[in-house]
Amino acid sequence: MKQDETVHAKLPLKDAIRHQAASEQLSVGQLDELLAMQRDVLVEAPVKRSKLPVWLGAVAACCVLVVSLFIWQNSTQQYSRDIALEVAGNHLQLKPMDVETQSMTEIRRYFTQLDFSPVRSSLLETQFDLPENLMIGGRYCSVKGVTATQIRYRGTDSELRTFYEVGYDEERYGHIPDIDKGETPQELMVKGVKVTLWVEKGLLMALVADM
Amino acid sequence: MSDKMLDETQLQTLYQYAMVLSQHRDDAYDLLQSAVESYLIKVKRGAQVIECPVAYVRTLIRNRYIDHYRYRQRWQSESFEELALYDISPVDLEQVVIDSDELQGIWTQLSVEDRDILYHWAVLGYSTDEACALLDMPRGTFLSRIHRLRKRCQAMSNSLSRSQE
Repeated sequence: MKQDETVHAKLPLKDAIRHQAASEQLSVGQLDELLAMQRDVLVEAPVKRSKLPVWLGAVAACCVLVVSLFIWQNSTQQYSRDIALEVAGNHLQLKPMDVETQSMTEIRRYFTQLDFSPVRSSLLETQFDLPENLMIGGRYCSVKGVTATQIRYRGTDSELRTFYEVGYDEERYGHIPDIDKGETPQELMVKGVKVTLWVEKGLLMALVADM
Repeated sequence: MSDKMLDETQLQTLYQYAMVLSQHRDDAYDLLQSAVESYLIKVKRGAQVIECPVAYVRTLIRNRYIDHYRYRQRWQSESFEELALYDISPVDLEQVVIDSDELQGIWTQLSVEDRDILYHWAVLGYSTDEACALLDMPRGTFLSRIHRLRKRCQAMSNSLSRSQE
């Protein structure tokens, strides 16, 4: 809307142009229309504005999660594999027993150089059919540099099984399934034998069986 | 209120620029409205940070004007350098005085490119060199136009003086 103002005095060209430009004004209706148009988009629909960043954020979070899981899973698998290879190697060497006994009490009495107390695993009887009377004996060994026990059994099928126990340290051994938390033992096939790994009563346990 | 929202003063300024180009109120409003719409779409997508909304919308207005009206009004996209040398500098332009009636008479007769340059110089505060660079116009072309503008101002002024006598 043109302002009805006229200046007759001589002005510097710059001022005259400013005055000329400023003489044109939007009407109140036009102004309201433009302001309302902006409000509809910028003020009353904040969710729409944030849609893209949220979407991108979710994708980025998913990517980070997937990569983290992948790395974590890979590192955990590597830990388990290292342990399995070590205990399988010990099993295959069939070194003579330090103590020959069929009693856990005897085992506990013999192993005095450990920083844990050897225990019977609940899985030996329930899952692997290895009652105490099938025990042959035990000897010291190590798992990843930590002193451990190695207890040998002869199964009902006359096959030898070697059972390992060592104090569980997640930083050293990675995540191993804890059956006290309802997790399922992990099975690995290495060097032609089957290795089952789990954590029970705060100990890392491994059972190696010929296939 | 969102900091991305153009306020009343900014909208008025942008409308005035659209008027400088189009010299037609409905066209100016259409230019401004469509430029604001494009700006809002850009903001909504959020793909690009617009640091100065007013400058961004002003550029949209200019580009739209060139696109929509260049064929009708023959926007002189082709540059021409006049060989004649005029002794015109920014100082000379600063010294030109004119009254509002004279300018109003001349303003509509100026080419849209001249009005654009003069607006950038007088209202937005650019030097004439900066305005030429910003609007991609050779300085020689602009100076020759200013020379003609001064002659028109002079002629208009003389004519008014004679009529008053």
